[in-house]
Amino acid sequence: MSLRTLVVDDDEETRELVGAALHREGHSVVFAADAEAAQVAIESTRFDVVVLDVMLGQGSGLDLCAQLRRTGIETPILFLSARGTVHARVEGLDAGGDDYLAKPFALRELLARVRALGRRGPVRHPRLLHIGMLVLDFDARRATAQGRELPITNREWAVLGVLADAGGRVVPFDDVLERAWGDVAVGARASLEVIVSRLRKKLDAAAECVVMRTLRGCGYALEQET
Amino acid sequence: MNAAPSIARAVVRSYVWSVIAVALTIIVVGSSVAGWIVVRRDDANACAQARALGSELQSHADEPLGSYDGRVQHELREQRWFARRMEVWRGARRIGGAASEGLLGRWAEHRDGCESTKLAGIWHRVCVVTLAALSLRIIAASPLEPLLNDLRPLVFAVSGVALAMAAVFSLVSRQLARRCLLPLARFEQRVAAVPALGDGRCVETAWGAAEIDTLAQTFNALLLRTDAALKREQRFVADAAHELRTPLTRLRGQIELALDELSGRPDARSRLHRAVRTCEELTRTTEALLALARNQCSTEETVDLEEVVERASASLLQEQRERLHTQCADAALVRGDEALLVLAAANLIDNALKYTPGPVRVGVQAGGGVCSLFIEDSGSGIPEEDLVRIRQPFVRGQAHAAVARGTGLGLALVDHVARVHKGALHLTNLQPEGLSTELRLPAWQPRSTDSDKRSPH
Repeated sequence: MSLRTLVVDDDEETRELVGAALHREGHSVVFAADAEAAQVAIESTRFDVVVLDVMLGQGSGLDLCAQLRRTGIETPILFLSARGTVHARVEGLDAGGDDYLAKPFALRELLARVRALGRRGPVRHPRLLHIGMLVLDFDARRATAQGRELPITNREWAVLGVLADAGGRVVPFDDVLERAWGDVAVGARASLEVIVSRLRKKLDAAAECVVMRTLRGCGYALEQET
Repeated sequence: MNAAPSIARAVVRSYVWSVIAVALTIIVVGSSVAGWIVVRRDDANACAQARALGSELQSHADEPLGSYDGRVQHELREQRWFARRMEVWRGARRIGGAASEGLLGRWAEHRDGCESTKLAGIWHRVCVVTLAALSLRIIAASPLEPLLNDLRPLVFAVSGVALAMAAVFSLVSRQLARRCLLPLARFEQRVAAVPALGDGRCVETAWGAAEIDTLAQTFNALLLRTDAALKREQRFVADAAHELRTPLTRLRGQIELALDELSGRPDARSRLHRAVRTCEELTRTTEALLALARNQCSTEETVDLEEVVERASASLLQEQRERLHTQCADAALVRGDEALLVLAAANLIDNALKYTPGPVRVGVQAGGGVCSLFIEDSGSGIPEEDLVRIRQPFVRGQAHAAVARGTGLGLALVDHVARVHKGALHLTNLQPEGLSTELRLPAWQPRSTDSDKRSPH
């Protein structure tokens, strides 16, 4: 699958590097060194994925992303950031980004994420989900049932996020893995099963209904909103 | 636990003491004044009685002296007033009185007036009245005790009322002091509820007490200063992170691209693979230094220690993985920065595998509000004198320095991560051999909801 990609980074070498890797995968690549050039490129061409550095020379990548979303451009955006904190990640997703990769990253992982975003296309992330007694707040990463908070870890939120994005449709195991962690290694499938079973134990008890369904040999799905 | 004296208690105590002092003063002064008034009135009464006796005697002044003295005797016998004794003296001679011999001869030459004295062992008031026309002196002696006995109920009543009022005032003042200090208690609660520094939060400055309002303003100023310092620090760490991570990204990317381009050169590829490993090591050291520079968790997420162990051991080599035995109990959930915890766990596991050839046990436990991640190796342990020193940055155990390479940042980092999570790192030598390193962290607690954060107003 060939994707049209735009790489926005003020560091020339990083830009060239990411471009070379994407090019080698068979994607077409357009470069932009700053927010202004990126804006011009996006307005003239339709891209499948934008790889955007959070810290651009003038005007941050976050502002650019927010502005694009305001003007109704839904192209999936993968943030790259040298600020690896989770706070920075949440900031990126809040600005309308679809995924986030901390520097330094492995090129293999970058390619996997771009692939996942390209396949998925523009999505609307749900912000708040009610299932049975359960309230899932994806912005604050907070799950509550009847006023009680439930302990949900990052990996579990990632899985929930992927299933919520699918809006009740079944998501195949490998897709969950790739979208949640950008990784489809051999051992990852087993740890996904462990995480889902732990998550299900926490959620079903609190929601007083079935929250996640497993379709044997196929994938997982989240119950529809009630 | 708190050795310093409490302001409320000190205020109430001083107030109670002053109320008691006032009550005692009222009792003492009041009864003295009352006693004095009663005595003075009795004096006036005694003098009036003496004068009445005198004018009675004057009307018989023309009678001959012998019968006159008899008249005096008669008059004195007529005049009886409780225990008051009256005697009439002319010069040093007693011409009339209740008893056969005079008791009051001492005052025969005195001038008019009253004084207190002891007669036959009993306190009396003695009053002298002179009748100049008859050259007589009338001396009246009244015992004090019956007078003061009359006062006793009054004194009791006053004392009772005063003490009762003291008690009432003490209780009222205690309540008042408590109420006055209530804003202080609320302020303390509010300050305790101020979450981690750095989110620009301030406390309210209207607490209904000028002193506390000032305190709140000072506290806010302190918060602002600390906030500013923290922001500078965070800015610096973020800048440093950017400056370090960007070249690392380039380095790693170039090596990976070169790896793809050299598909026909296995020797060159193996060199590049080693370069990637070095790059990863450099990344870990960078992250460790950045984590040490940060004095707090950059985030508050729910973290499962089992996941931490899993992620920390994900990049191990096959040979290392075979020596690692993982045992995880129930869910051990903590609140904090997952990246930091993974870094810490990876360091501990890495250390254990590096310094011992044998098996390494990694486990997770939860209970009693504490979660712990422990790693036990079968090596030679650490000499007791090194157990404390080894937590400092760039310090390495004497015995280990020669065995394996490393920066010596590991345990310092783990110690730091434990402390920013309000936990602790415990190092224990096991018997007969081996070292146990344990990361103990407070267990997951639900975050306070928004309604909890609201001010007491």
